[in-house]
Amino acid sequence: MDIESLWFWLEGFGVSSLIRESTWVFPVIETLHVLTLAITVGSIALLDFRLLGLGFDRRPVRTAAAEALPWTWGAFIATCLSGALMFASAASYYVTIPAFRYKALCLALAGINMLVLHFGSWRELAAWDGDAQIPSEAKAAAALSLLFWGGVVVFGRWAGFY
Amino acid sequence: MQQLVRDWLGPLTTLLREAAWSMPLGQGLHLLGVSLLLGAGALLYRRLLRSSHSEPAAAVLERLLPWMWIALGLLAVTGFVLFSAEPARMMRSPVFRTKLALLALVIVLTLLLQRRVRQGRETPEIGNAIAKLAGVSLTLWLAIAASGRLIGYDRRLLDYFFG
Repeated sequence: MDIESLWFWLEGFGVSSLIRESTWVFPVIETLHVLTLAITVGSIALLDFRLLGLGFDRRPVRTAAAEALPWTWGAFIATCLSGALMFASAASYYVTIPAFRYKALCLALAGINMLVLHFGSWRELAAWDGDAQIPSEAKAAAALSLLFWGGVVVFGRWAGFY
Repeated sequence: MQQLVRDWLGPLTTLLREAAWSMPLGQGLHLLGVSLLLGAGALLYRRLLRSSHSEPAAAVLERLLPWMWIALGLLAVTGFVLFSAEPARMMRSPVFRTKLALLALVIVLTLLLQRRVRQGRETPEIGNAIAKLAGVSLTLWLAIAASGRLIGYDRRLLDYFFG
């Protein structure tokens, strides 16, 4: 099965045609997507700012992460579900939109960046947390995270203009 | 007054309409502001809704509320630019007017909340009042963000639901 037929297979679901044909279902799903995306990206940004030493949070990184990450993951799951529904409604079209592709790329890079941080300097978190100096790898990961997630948001909105 | 608005906004309106990238970029930056505001808001209101936490309400407020004001500044600037691209349509839009009214309300509530929390003494009654303000504010922010997205659909949705 080639990839093209996968997009058409997604579009063939009953829920996909329901979203395409209804006047209000798409706007409602899109609104939920925006709200949950905002909470995902906002909670990530707060942690990134903490790692960069910007802002107003002086607590240990572990404490800040324990507060933010449940929001990040909960909202991210909801964002993926609402996004998957919108994608399925016109999958073969979305994959041709340049902004949509850039968004997918930014999302993948954000994921890789997170994994690099998680399996890198985050493993020695206990050693550097609370002390003044945050490792430069962790700071670089935080800056890249802001860049990639910013790209996801901006290109995601851009994709809606096609 | 209308003439004054036209004279001042007219050139900006033309500029924004003619550059293909200006609206997507403007809305994208606006959405970054929404993200920071709702991200900080979710954490702030969640903590204020539950009293008897290890961290005092004032400390939670001092580390999260400044982010919301910063985000609101970014939203005001990008929002004004977006408004300038299509002022006539925005002023006619019932969703946009509702959004502005809710925004004015939540700003007043946020200032009240800030004052309440900074008073310091955490009696159960004050904690209760703070929790109520937090719950209403969170609901309002979500409604404001949702209405922002729905401005783009207002004609379609109003026709559909109210004929």
